[in-house]
Amino acid sequence: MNKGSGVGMGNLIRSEAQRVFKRKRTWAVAIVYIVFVLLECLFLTMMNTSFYDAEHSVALNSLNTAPFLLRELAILMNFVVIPMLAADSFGGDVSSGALRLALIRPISRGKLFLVKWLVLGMLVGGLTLFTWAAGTVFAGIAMPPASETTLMGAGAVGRMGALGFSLGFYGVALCVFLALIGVGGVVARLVPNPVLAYIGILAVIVGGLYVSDALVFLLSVSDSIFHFLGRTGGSDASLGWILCALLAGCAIIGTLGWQRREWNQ
Amino acid sequence: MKTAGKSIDEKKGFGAAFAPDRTAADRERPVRRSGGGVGFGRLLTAEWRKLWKRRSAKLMALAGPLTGLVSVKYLLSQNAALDPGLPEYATAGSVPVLALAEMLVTVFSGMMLVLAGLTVTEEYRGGQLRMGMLRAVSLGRIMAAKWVACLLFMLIQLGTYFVCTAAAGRALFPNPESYPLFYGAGRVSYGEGLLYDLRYYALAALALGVLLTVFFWLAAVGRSSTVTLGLGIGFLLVSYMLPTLLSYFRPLFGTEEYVRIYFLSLVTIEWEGIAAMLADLHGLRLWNLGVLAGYGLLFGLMTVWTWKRRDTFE
Repeated sequence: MNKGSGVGMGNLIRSEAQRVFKRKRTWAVAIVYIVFVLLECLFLTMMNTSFYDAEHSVALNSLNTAPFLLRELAILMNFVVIPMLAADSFGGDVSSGALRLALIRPISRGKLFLVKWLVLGMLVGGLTLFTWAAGTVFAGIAMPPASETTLMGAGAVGRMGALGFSLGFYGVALCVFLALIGVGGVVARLVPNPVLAYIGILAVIVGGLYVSDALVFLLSVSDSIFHFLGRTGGSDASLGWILCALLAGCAIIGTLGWQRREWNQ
Repeated sequence: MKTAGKSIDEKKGFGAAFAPDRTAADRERPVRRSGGGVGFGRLLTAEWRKLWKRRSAKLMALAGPLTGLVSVKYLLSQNAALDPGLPEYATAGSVPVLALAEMLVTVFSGMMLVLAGLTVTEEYRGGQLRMGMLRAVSLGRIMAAKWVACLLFMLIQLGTYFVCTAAAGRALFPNPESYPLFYGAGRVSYGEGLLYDLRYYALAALALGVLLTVFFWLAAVGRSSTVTLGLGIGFLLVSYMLPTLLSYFRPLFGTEEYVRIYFLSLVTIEWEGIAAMLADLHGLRLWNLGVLAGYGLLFGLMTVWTWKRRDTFE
């Protein structure tokens, strides 16, 4: 062990996770999100309908409900949870000086960026998984039972098919969230001040619209994923490769940017 | 007694050697010292300078005209698809209002949040404020000075936005004899339209001031600047989502009741409420003013209370 860069990856992740979970606001925002998941379940039982997009509504049943939780929750995720976590982790640690103690050991800065991304990804991944699980369990209990259902793009599917679809849906959603965290890392590299980093991330989400319609998936996560999975064409058909490009771009720019960072500023 | 008097005299002499010469006029000028020690005007100047010292404030000041440009461009593209008889059709007189309508909810509200987060939470939690508090000034007065400074910043922003968009409207958009206003408030000529625009901007400034007060409370409560921003964005999202949710239950209410509940949210007032106020639709003028006053009073008092009971030495 400890050859070359000095500190093992496992230890880096553990140290970063300690910093993230030591912040009370990490817990607070996670708890708020979970409360909103439960509220969303309540909301869906009251409405019994949801929407693929503004034009297509759908009657909910025990099989097709799970993906629709994300329609409202993704906004909370993209506008509050991820910007807060990213601004605190990528920006706050630097501008508050908390990172100096970690950097006493000879750690590669690029690696540090990837570790931060990974830890936040795991946290957000946990929340996404919880949303999926809550949606699936809740649909089975409270929604009108069905043995077969129709889903946009998948056609008529049974129990396993619906489960597979919802897993795929949440998988793509997680990739969107991961991309946004990466964007947060790059933004916070430019403006370490957490307030500005937070606003910068929001500016990327909203400003993306002015750059290209294909970036709308950062704003309307669930609509775009339905379009993508349903292969309805339009601007969301390119979601797959744009997402990959965004992830790769953030990884490269982030790693290089953090490596070249001046730490004695 | 004698020794004490002597030592004071000595101190005076000591100080006088370093102090710049005070002229007779200076000595005659009454020094206003109201209890706390530092006058409010000087606090305000200090906060004003501190605000402009930030690179982010300068950037934000640039963002105003820039977003004006973006929305003018958007309105030009939008005009091609619209019937000139509609109030949404942009003419030289209506450009300032149309360009502000969408930016008020997003950019200007965001600006208020950033101002509150940067000047209150960050300075307080980061310890920057301690320098200012070396002088005997109460926290409440400092916060009041900050609030006024942010308000002035916002007024200047709105003013530049108005001038920019009005100029762009005159230069790039058609200027018909008269054009219709929103919600059937009649047709106006260019001059009357500009007066309407000014009234619109005054109400927009009022709404932004109330929003700033709400954010100042959030900034006082937030334990860190990211928390403040999260709470602020959450407030905006909830203010947007509740009226949307309400629209599902539309059949349950009469029109009068419905619009009154609908305009209980600050975001809907910014979005559609100001035009409705100017047209006095369903008697909304008084109602919306009442809602704004309610928000302002509630959050203003809560902010005052928060800073009053906060221990400066924590």
